[in-house]
Amino acid sequence: MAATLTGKPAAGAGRATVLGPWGTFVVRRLVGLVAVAVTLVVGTFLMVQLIPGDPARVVAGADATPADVELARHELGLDRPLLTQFGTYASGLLRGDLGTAFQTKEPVAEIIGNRLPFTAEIAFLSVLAVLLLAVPIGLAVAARGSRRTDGAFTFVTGLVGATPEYIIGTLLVLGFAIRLGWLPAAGAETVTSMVLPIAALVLPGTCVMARIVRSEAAHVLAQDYMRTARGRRLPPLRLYARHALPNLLTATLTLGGLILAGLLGGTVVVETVFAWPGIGQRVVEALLVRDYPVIQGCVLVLGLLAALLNLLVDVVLALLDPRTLAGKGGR
Amino acid sequence: MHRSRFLACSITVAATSLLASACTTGSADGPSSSGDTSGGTVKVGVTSDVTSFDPAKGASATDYVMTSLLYQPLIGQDDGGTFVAGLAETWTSTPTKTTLTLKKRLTCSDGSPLTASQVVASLQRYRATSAGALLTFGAANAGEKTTITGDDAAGTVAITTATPWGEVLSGLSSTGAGIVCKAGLDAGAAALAQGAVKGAASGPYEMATARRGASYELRLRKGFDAYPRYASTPAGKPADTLRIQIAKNESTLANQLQTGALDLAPITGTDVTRFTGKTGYAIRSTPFIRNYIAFNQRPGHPGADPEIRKAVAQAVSASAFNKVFGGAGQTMTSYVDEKAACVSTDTTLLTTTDPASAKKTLTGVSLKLEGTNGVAGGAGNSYVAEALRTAGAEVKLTNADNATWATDVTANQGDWDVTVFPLISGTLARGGSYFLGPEPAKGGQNYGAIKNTAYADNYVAATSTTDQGAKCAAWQKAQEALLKANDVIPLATVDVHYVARKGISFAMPGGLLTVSTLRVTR
Repeated sequence: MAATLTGKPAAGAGRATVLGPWGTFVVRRLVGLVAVAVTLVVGTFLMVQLIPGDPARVVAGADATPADVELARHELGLDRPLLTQFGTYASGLLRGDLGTAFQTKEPVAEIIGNRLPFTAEIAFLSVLAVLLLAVPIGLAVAARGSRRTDGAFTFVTGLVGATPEYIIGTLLVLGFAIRLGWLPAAGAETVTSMVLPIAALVLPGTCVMARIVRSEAAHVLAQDYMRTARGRRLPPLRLYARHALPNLLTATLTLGGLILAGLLGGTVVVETVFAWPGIGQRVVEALLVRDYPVIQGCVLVLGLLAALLNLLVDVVLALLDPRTLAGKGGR
Repeated sequence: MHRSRFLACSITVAATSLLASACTTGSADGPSSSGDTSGGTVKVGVTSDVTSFDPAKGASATDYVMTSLLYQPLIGQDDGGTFVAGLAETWTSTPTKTTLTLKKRLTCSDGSPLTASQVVASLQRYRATSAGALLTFGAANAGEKTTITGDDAAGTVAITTATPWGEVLSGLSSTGAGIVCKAGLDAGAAALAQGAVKGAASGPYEMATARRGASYELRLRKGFDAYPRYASTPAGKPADTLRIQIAKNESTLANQLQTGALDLAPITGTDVTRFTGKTGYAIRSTPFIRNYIAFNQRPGHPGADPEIRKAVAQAVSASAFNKVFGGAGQTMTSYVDEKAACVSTDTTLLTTTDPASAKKTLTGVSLKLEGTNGVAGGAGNSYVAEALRTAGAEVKLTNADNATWATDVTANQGDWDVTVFPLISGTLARGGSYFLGPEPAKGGQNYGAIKNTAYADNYVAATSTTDQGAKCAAWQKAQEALLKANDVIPLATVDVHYVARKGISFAMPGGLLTVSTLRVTR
């Protein structure tokens, strides 16, 4: 496109012309994904080495003699040169082997396979609920345009949005589990067990998202085309759903993707409060006992998931509004 | 199953959106079924996942709970250090030879007979793979210097040590020495560590289902009757099913106890006050961590000077330290708590708290204090640091996590002068192994490089005899030597409170929760 406009093809412009905007977009993002993966692999490997504390000592146990510790170090492969350790790790990754946990001797892939679905379950449902709640609320407040409603909305969303999840979680447990006895206080034994953890994530997330939707909606509703649409006396549902909503999606979906990526790796507090056996808790446990393979494996998978989610959001946005391709490597 | 659950739960989004106000079904678990006339299901809370199902490799409290249910030791140790029958019915013990006679008709969880040969194989594996075996058979009897033989016809197992060692029975009663059946031995260490191997269990329960990180369900073995005969084992029926549920957070455990999702849970912090004096709950407390101050006594460190050690002892107060943790623990008079066999309770051996005198010695002295933040975020370390600062010392406090602290202090790879040591073990022999012998760099456990020959001599005397009177006399002399030299400054215990709902009883022989004694009494 650049070549067409200026008549002076820039470097790589020929390939862009051949591949088209979508092809260029996809190629660039895939290259980006590979770069992210390589950075994660190298970065996490080096990062764990910097954590103070000896994993061999932790594995050997409190009663271990120095000989036991050295034996554990040898069995874990930590007595080999760093480069050799990295080579073993990287070659394992190429074979799809994320390694074996130092502590529990479980395959790391199995740990992630067991834990990630729990986190993904509450993360996806939470983001879905946030979107379903925040968009209509934000849009409704913007459409109403009342100063009093705006003030109340800002106060409530500011207060709840700024309240830490563990406080919200604790209050929910106090109310719905202990006082009313309607829902389980913790655990993952039944379907109802996930209601309170999701609520603890949804409440602040909805408030943050609704504020952004409201702000974006106020801007969109003030546009000329919306005034024209209103002048044509379109039914409200059609007016907002067909004319306002599509223009809110960029900010909403982008934020939704970021919230989801954050929740996949960052629901540790909620997982702890509700004894939810997710991956966030497992990473923290691994950090405390210096379980290098678990840390590396989880961070790698979560990092790649975050990158893939961002890519997915970009693809969806580009499908909805092809103009966004220009800003995302699709020139 | 997970996918269907995911789909089913999409419906709950709506409920979530409405803050679940429409949900009135409540927990499907409801109150525990522990009140059934049968043993029913009893739900036990724990604060960490199992790190290893191999009894010889157990490291965490949950490991001990789990492996003690699956793998039964030959004997048990009751209050006051007396031994009671486990898989073994009778035994005799001298400093060099211990012979145990197994109960008749013992079986493994697959129904196969548990023979003396299998017990020998299990103990040989324990001797070769467990760090705890060093104290069971003695450091001087490592490897082939301990002979373990069995006679299937007579049902006897004999353990012979090359040099006298009087702690064999005590070691055999530990969870780590739980007997693994042939199926487990054949499966190998990796399989045993990862999960319960079918047919490997010799204890009262076998694994029914395992959801790592969430819960485990253990089923009572039909016909098992080799329970340890502790004097205080309550009447009632063992639970038909034990569900071990994991919650990292003690407030969460308390919430689950309060809502009936748990029947028994350990609580170390202030959440226990939610149950204190409340009907429907019983609380039993026992020391969990025994805190004491120890020094790096290598040349060039302040702790090498006996006067500095004495001044540190004068600067701190065990009762003030106890108050840091709510005053619920017990002040200590030795490096283990008062429930330990042969512990010294002679307070005249302790240096009296005297901050004014401490100031004369400590003013201007620079001390690097390193402790673990594993207990209440290191609040106890902060108290000790402040007490020493008040006494004029310049203190650099490091509150490290357990792994870092263990590397820096117990492996002596860090730069430290003083530590607040959180001892888990409650026996003089195990806890005392840190105060004698070579330093970590030379293959030992003496992290502070203590050179107290009177202690070391009496430690050897105490651990080399099976005569309880002689043992306690030697331990008294050993503790006297250690305390008078201020090599150790006893502080206070941090207690764990086991909160049980009505209808659940259990024994704590020697102050340790023994889940195999859990009985449903309603």
